[in-house]
Amino acid sequence: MTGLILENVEKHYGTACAVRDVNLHLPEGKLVCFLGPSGCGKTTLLRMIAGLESLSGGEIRLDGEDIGHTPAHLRNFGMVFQSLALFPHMTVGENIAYPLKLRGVGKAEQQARVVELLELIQLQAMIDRPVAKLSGGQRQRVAIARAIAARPKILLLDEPLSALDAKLRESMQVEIRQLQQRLNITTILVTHDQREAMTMADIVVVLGEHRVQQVGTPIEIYRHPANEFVADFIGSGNIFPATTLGNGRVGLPGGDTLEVPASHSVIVGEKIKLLVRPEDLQLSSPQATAGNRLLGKVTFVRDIGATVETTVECSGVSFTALNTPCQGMDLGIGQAVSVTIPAQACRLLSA
Amino acid sequence: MGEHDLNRRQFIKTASVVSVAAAAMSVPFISARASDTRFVGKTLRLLTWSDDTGLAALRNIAATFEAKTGAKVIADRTGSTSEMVAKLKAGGDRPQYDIITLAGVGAEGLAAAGLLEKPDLNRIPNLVDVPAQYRTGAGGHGIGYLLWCNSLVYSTRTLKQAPDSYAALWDAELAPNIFLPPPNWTEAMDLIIIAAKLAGGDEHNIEPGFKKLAELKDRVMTLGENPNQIAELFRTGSLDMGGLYAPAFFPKQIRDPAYGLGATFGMKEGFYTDLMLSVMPKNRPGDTDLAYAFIDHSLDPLVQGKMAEDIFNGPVNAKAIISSEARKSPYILTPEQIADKAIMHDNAFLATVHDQWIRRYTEIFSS
Amino acid sequence: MEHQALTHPQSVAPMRSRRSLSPTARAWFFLSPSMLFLGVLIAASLLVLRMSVGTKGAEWSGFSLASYGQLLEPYYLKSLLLTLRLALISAVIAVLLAIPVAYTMSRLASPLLRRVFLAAVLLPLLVNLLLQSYGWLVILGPAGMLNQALIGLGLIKRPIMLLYNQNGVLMGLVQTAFPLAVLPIASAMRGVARSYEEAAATLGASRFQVFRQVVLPMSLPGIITGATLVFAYNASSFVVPLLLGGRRVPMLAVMVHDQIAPLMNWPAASAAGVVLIVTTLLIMTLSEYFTGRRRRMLEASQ
Repeated sequence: MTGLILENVEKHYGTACAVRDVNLHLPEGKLVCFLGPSGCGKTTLLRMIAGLESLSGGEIRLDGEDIGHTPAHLRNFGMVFQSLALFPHMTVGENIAYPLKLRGVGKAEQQARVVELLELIQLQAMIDRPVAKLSGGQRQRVAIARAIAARPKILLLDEPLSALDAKLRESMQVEIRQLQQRLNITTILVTHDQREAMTMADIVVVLGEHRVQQVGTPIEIYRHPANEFVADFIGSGNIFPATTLGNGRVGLPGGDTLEVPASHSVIVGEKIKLLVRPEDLQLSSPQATAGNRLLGKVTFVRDIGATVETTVECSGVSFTALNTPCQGMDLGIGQAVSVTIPAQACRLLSA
Repeated sequence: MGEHDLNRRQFIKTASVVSVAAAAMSVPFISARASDTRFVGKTLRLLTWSDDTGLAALRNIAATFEAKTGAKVIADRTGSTSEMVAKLKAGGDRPQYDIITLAGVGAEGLAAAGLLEKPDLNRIPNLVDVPAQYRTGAGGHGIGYLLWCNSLVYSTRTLKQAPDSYAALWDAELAPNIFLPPPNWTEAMDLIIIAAKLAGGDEHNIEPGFKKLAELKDRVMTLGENPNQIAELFRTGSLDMGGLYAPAFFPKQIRDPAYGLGATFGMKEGFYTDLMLSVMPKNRPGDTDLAYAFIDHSLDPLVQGKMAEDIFNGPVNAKAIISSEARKSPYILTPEQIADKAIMHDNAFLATVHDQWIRRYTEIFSS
Repeated sequence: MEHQALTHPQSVAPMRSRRSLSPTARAWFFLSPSMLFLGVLIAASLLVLRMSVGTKGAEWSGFSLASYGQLLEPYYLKSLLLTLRLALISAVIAVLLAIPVAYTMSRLASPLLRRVFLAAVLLPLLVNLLLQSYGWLVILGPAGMLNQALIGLGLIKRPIMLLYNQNGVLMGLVQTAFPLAVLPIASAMRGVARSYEEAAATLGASRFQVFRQVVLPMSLPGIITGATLVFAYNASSFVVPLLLGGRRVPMLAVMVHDQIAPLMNWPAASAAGVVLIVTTLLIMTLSEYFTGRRRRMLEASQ
């Protein structure tokens, strides 16, 4: 079986567990994103794949070969560190040529590859600059060029963009994604920024509490979170308790009922959690409760220019709705308002 | 005492302290004379060495002087002769001391700088008992008060009997491993003269001496800067003989049979001595009569005898009183031995060749 | 309605009634005790400079360059060369020995272990040099432990002389100056973040290559500092050649000492001292010149 396979991978530090029972199959040529809050074990997992941390248990196989205990320098993976770790005692060109030099590549070939990579990252003129003279974005690109110089089997990126300012980060996300697709190199990206994961990933692996919570495409993760952890971590959401009533209906704490997608096979009377994304809620002038339309009262309005977030309390639950200003109704605190919750926007999560 | 100053005197350890402590603390051996009351309440400021010779001077000279006269002696002690010179030079024409005891070279330096007063010998009655050559030094600026005496040191394990000639140093079979004094010591100068004499020259025909010394190069383990190291090398059987070196450097080890350390003054060529002087700076802070009385007291036969017994150095007073017990020790010199065998080098002459000889000596033994 | 500014100056009581010093004046004030101390040291050096052009007996009033002329004689030139050679070799050896120690120290995770290590490295500084020289005698002397062991093993017949020659002095120089090499190198190596080593490893460098091609070049400023400190410290070494050289290794500081005691030749001693200072400064400047560019490059990025 080709690609990178992790089987029952574990990492313990004494009695503390950093990574628990991870099973993953990372297909070739894809960009996989390890996404999770800080301290969830995502970086540890990446470092185990790189060979910088030993395995406490389980196996890592690459194209069928067990590499779990191969030293880092023999794995032929490229890695970009959070700090980038460009060697300050080398020029840009020397940094990129370093992995080639280690592999005994001839001088001329080294030079050709360095020029090729600098063209790729559009820094041809910088070849003899010391790295200290580069801007943040330029360093970023040099670090990637160095990581891929020796044509590694896998490229590992450990929160490489976290040091950049927001604007540069967004453009680098696109740039890296394009580069990855052009080179068709299997890539693992570790990040805690879900927007970054959504932008770049083919597959997102959500990690939380030291284990894998869900694996899927960004849209799957967003639309069909497997559990409350994922639902809460990915995007903002209205998550509230409900009770199943059968026939595709659930009851809210305030007594109102909602229609939900019937496909969910659930036991009647079960306590569950319901997820509704704020952008799916529709606000309208107060009308009588009917179907999935509930009557509530505005408790907070946050107008941040591009979007307006309105918090409405109804049926014992606090909902936040997200609208563009032109959809807005110019609501004030304390005003009555109707909230429509489309049935297809509701996701049932096991509590 | 004793950071990193490596002046030779510093290494004399407190060996004799135990034996003389009783004498120092009990009633002084010279009882106060009622007649001498004119110095009561006056103060004398003394600068001496910080080593055992200095301590012995405080015990045997200063303490008894205080008891005898009722004057007070305030002593300042310093590591080396060159420090004393520096101290006095720093004081300029306002010196802090009435009397300084130091080696001849230092006194000459101070005299040359015009800082010393020439004492009136008539005011020092005890000088009549001091042989002429030990009375003064540094061109009459210093009054001799003890003789630093150099011996041949040998291993009592290797040598069955004490060597009776300096030629023993050149006898490779008798003493395979030897040590010599370091180049900057006066002892080295004396050794050069001894070598010259053994080779048929003398201090004015010195070349044969250097040639003769060069013969020793391969057998010289060290130029003994540190007496305790030397004693240790004898204890471990690494050294067989050496010199010139004063037994006063390691009296404790000489008395301890574990060291197998012997010293002899019985060479037929005689033994070399260096005259230690008392000097009086110009513009002294204190009373002049008191200063003369102190110098005279340092030459008292009883005081001279006690100093000799205490620190293994030679008395300058020919009538120095050495106890019959002390006379049995090979390391305590009597006035008779000194009169018979002591050789005093010519400091004025040595000053003219010192620099060159130090260089030659250093070059010969550089490893 | 009367217009009112949203922000308006308020009359705030001054923080201190005392007239406040300008920041520059305050900096000088802060520095003054150290400046005073340094000033005295510099004055002492200048006095040495003055004495070196004086004449014997008239150190403060005379003027003569004879003392410097004298230094051109082979006796002093040989000594100067010997001094520089021993200082240089001892610096190289001390640094070579210090590098593994410093690296281990810089990578110890446990603060306790690191402190124990540091104490072990600093120990020689806490022991009086005179005592240390006895230690050397007990271990390396002709009847010392090492010789006895070698004789006991039948490897040698006669004791080998490890002390009282240049080798003995060299050992002493390396040992006494060792902490001076370890501390700056360890501090520089601690400054080389772990991620550089890891990056090199993922790029294909073995542990040795990581050390050789990343850790060492990146800690070069510390290594140069360590070597320079050892060199300067040992070039003026006095006690070590005196006690471990058996007076047979005439390093310049010993010669300076001979000029003072017993010759009282302050001008000659001062001139030798000035030459030693100038030569050491010159060599330090050269080393800074040759390594300065890379040093600044590394410092800019750290």
